[in-house]
Amino acid sequence: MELSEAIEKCRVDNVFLCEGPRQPQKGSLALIGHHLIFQPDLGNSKKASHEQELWLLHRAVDRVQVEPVSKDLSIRAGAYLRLKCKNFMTCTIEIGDMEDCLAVARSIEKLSNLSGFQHDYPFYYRCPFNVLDNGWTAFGIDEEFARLVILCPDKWRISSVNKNFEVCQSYPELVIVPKGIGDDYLKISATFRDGTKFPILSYYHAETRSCIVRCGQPLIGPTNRRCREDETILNSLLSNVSKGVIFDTRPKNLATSSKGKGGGIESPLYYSQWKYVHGNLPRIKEVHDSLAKLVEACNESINSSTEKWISKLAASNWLQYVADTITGAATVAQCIHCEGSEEVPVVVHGAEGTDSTLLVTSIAQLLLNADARTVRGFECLIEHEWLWGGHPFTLRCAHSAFATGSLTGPYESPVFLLFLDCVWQIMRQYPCSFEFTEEFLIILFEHAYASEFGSFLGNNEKERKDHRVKEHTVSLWSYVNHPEILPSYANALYEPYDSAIWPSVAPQSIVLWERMYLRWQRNWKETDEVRQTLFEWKHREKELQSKLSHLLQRQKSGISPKASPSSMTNNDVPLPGKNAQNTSIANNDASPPSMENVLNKLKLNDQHAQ
Amino acid sequence: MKFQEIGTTKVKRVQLVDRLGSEANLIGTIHITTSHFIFKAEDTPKEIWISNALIGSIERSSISAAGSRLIIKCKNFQTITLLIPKEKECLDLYETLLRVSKLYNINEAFAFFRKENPDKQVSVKEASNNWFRLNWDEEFKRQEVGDTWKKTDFNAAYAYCDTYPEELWIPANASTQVLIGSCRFRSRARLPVLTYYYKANGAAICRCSQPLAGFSARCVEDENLMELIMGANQSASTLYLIDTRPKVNAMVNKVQGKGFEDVRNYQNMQSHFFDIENIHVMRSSLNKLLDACQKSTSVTEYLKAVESSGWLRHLKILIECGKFISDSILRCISCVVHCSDGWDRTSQTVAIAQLLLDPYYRTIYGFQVLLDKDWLGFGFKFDDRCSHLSANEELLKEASPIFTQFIDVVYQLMRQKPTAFEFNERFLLEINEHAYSCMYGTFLGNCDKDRKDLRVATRTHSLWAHIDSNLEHYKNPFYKSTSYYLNDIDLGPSAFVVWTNLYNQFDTGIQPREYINDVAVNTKEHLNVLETKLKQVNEGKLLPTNFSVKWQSLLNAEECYSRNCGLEYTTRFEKRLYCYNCGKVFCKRCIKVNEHGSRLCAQCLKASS
Repeated sequence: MELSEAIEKCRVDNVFLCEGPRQPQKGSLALIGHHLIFQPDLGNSKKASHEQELWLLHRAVDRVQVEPVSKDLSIRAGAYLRLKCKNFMTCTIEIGDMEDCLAVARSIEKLSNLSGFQHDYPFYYRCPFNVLDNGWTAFGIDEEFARLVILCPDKWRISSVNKNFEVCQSYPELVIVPKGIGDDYLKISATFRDGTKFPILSYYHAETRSCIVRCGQPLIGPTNRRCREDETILNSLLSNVSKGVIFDTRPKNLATSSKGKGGGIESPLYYSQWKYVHGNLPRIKEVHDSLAKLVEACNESINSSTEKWISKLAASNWLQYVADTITGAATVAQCIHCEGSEEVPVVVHGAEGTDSTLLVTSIAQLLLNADARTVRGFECLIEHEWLWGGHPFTLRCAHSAFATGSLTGPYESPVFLLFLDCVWQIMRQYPCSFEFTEEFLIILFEHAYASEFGSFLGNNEKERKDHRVKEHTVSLWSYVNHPEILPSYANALYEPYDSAIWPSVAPQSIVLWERMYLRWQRNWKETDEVRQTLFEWKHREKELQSKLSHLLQRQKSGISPKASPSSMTNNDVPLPGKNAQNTSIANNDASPPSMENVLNKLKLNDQHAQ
Repeated sequence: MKFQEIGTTKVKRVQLVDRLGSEANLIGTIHITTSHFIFKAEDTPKEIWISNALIGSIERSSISAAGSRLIIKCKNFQTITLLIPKEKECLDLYETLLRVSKLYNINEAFAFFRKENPDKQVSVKEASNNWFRLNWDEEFKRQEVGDTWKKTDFNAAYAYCDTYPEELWIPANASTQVLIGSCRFRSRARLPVLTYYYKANGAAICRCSQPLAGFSARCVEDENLMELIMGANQSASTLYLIDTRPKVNAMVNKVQGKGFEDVRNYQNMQSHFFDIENIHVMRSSLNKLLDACQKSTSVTEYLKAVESSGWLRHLKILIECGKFISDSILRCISCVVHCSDGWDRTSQTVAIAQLLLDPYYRTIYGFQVLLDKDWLGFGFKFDDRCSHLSANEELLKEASPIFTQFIDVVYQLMRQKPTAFEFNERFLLEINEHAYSCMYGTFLGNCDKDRKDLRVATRTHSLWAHIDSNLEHYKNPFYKSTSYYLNDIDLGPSAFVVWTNLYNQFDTGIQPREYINDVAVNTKEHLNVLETKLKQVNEGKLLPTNFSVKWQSLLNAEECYSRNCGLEYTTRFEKRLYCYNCGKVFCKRCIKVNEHGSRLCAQCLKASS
C-alpha cells in the first residue's frame, strides 16, 4: 500500500486553528504521507515561512475526534477536528464542511496507526544537519561490554550464544554471563525462563564488587518444575559469598499466583542461598490506565474544584506508582551498595523482564553510578537497559494517554515515561547532580512515541537488525549530541558528585511533574527566564573561575600574576607597598625564590637604604 | 519567670529520636533556661534551640523498656521526640516544660527580657526610632491619597475604637457626627476607614467590621459614610460592599443583631459574599493538613488526607477574594471589606489585594509596612490567634492559624511569580516563626493600643531590625523591580500545592538536597567575589595563597567547616555562609566580615592580617 492511498482529502482551505502550539489563526490544512501541515494565511501576497507552519507527524496523534460546531445538525456549521497527541497536546482545527472534516479525520486515523516498519518516517527522513558524532556507533555493544567485563574479568565473560537471536529474540546477539557457565547451560536455562530470558549481567558495581543480573521469571508452573542448570548459573554468582538477593518486582501474591499460568518464583528449596525480596511495581496495564486518568485530571483541572483535582490525582495512582518504582530501585541499590559487608549479587526479574525489571535495574544504576547522571552515561543507560534489554517500544508506545478502552490492546503502556518521571523526581531532589535538564527527558519521551529518528523503532535488537534501522535511519543521539544542540539540554548547575544518591520516597517528596503533564496548560515564560538567568550566572562563574585558577597557578609557580599583557602596560611599575606584600606572601608560601622575587627584594632593600 | 522557678534545668543521657526512623537516635543533654529549650548532643556538635514560647504541646507516651517518650510539638511545626531512660526524669522534665512554656502575662514574654541586641550594638532608644516600619502619614503620602480623603484624630487616645490605630483616614466630607454614628452601628466600633488608595484612578479599599443590622436596624450616619466613601472616588457610580463570609454565616449573625448591609438602604451599592470560612474551620483544616504531613505513609493516603483537609481550597478562595477586590479597584470601583469583626478574613483579603495591586508591598520593606498596617495597625489579635498566652478553654478557641494561612498565600503567589517579589521563602518562614516565638516585640499584643501600653518599642527588639541586619539572606535573587499589577494569577486547582518547606520544614530528609534559590544567591555572591579578585589581580595585587576559586557544594553542606565548631544545621533553610577566601561553609558564629565587607573564616582572617 502506498501512503497516499490512505489520504482521502489532501487539502482543506479556510480552516481555523483554535487550539494548539500556535496562536489561534486562519489557514489551510494539508495532508502528506507522514505529516499534517497547517499553513497560516498571512494576507494576500505573503507566504508563510517554514517556522510559521505547523508540522505534525501522524504518528504523534493518539486519538482523532470530530465534533460538530453546532449541536443542531440541520445547521451546516462545520466541525471541530480534535487531534489529541501522544505528548498530551491537543490541537483543534475548525473545518467548514463536516464531510471534509470526517475525511481528514479518517485519513489521520489510518496513517497514525499504520503497522509495519516500511512506512515509518525515520526511513524517509533526510538529515538536514551534519552528523558529527554518529549515534549508531557511539554506543557499540562490543566496546560497552568489553568496558564492563574488564572491571572483573575473572567473573564475567561475553557470550555469543544468542548469535542470530537464536536463543532469545529480545536479547542482543552478545550478552555478559558468569564466567564459569557454558553456552549449553544458558540455552537450557532459557527454556526455564519467561521470554527465554536467561540470567545476564545488567550492572557491575566495581566499588563493592556486587552485581545486578536480570532475567525473566522462572517457569515453575503448577507442576513445580525445576532446572538444575539455571540453579547452577545463579549459584555461580555466589562463589565468594554465602547469600544473594532475588528481587521480584511483583508483590508476593501476584508472583505466587502466576504459578497457575506457568510462571512463578524460584523455590527456596532449590535456591536456598537466595533471599527473596518483593517489590510493589505496577503492571503494564495499570500504568497505562493510570496515565490516562492522570492526563484526564490535568486536562480538566482548569475547570474543576481543588478537592476534585486532588482526589483525581490520588485516584490516578500515578504518583504512588512513581514512589513504588523508586522504592524498588532504591532497595536493589542498597543491596548493591552494602557498605562494609560482603558483596551481594542481586537478581532482578518480574514476569517477562522487559518492563518493571528494566525500571528497577536502570534506576538503581542511576542512584549508584555517577556516570549514568551525565548526558553520555544516561544515553548509554538507555541503550544498555532499555534498547538492548528488549523493552518493546513499538508495542508500548503505539498509543498514549488518550487512547483508552477498546482503542488499545494489552500491550500499550507508558513504562518508559514512568522511568523518565522517576528520573525527574530524583533530579528534583538532587538538582545539581545531573548533567542534563528536564527538557532532555521531555525530548526523549516525545521521540519514544513519534520521531524522525530511528532510535526507538522496533521492539528489540532483532527487529532493528532485520529492518536495517541503523543503516537507513538517523539516530536520536546523533541529533541531541550535536554540539549546536547539546548545550540547550545541559544543566549549568551540574557539579559531578561521585557517590551514590539516595532520594526520599516520602509522600511529600513525590510531586507532579508539572512541566510534563501541565506543559500545554501553563505559560512557562517566567520559569524559563528565571532558569536562563541562573544558567547565565553559572556560566559566568565558571569562566571567572578558570581565569582565576589559571592566574593562581602562575602565581604559585612564581610568574607575575598579572592577568594579561594589556594590564602590564597600564601598570608598568609596581608600587613599593605592593612589592612588600608580594614578597611576604611568597615567603609564607615557601615557594622557590624566583627571579622576580629576588628582584623585588633587591628593590625593597634599595628603598630602605634611601 | 525567674531561673529559680524553673525546676529541673538539666537532664542527661536523653535520646533524640529521629522521627522518620532513617537515622540512629542521638544521645545528649537537655538544658532548660528561662527562654529556651536546648538539646546538646554528646558525640556530635548538634544543638537544637527552641524558644519556650514556640512549645505548643507536650505529650508523654507509654513507658517501654528503653524509657519513656516525650513528644514536644512546636508552633513552627517542629516535632521533637525524646526518649528518657528514667520515668521520674521524664515526669520532671514534662512538668518543667509545661511550666516554662506557659505564659500568663504578656509582660513576661521573653522579648522583654532580652537585654542584648542579638544583631548589633545599638541602644534600645536608638533602635526605637526605626522600630515600626509604618508611619501612617508617610504611607498615605506614598499612596498619594487625593484630597477627597482626610486624616482625623477622632480616635485619639483610642477614644472610640480601642482596636484601631489613633490616626484614621476618612472621606474629606465626613463629619464627626457621621463617624460617631457609624461607630455605634459597627461591631466593636470598627467603622469603615481607608487602608489603600489607588492613585491611578482614585478607587480605594476601606475596611470595617460587620454592621449591627440585625433584621431591620439601619443607621443613617453609616449609610451616609458609605455614600461619602463612594463619592470620594469621583469617577465611579457604585461601591462594592464585600462580605468575605459565606452568606449563610452572615445570615446567622443577623439573629445576634449583627449581619450585613441591606443594599436597599445603601443606594447604588452592591454586596458580594465570599466563601471564606471562620477561624474554627481554618484551625481544624490546618490540623488535618498537619496530620497528613506527619502521619501519611503512602502517596495515595497523603493526597487523600490533603484533599479532605480542604486547606488548599481555603487558600484558593482567599486569593479569589483578594483578586476580586484588586480587579474591582482596577475597574475604578472602591471596595469596603468586612467579615465579622474585621480583623481576620478582612486583614487577609485586603492584604492580598494590595500585594496584587501594588509592587511596593512586594518589596522587603513594603511587605513589612503592609504587615504593620493591615495586620498590626488594624488590630489582628496576634496574642490570641498565635496563642502567646497560655490557654484556658476560652483562649484555646481564639487560636487559629490565620496569619500562617496568609503567609502561605504569599508563598503560593511567589511560586507562580518567581520574579515579582523582592523577598524569598526564607523571609516568609522567618516571619511566620517569629509571629509565635515571642522573641521580638513586633507581634506581641492584640492591637496597637496593647503595644503602646506595653511600650514594646522601648522595651523590646523589633523583628524588622533583625531582618535588616541580615537583609541579603532574605533577598530573592531573581527579583525584577517592576511596576506591574499581578493580573494573571492562575486560580486553577493545580496551581496550589502544599508548602512542604513550611509544614515539613524540620524533616530535612524529605526536601530537595539543594535549595535552588540558595544556589542562585551563592552564585551571585561568588561572582562578586571573583570579579573583585580579578580586578585586584589586574591592579597588581597577589591572590591570597589559600584562595580557592571553587566554593564548596551545597550538597551535604550540613555543618560548619570549622574544626572547633562543626555545628550542624537544623534545617535546609538556614543560610550557609561562605568564606570568601577558602570557599568553605561556616556558621554565623565562625565567620567574620572584614573592613572590606568580605566574609572570612577565622583562619583566613588570621592569615590575611
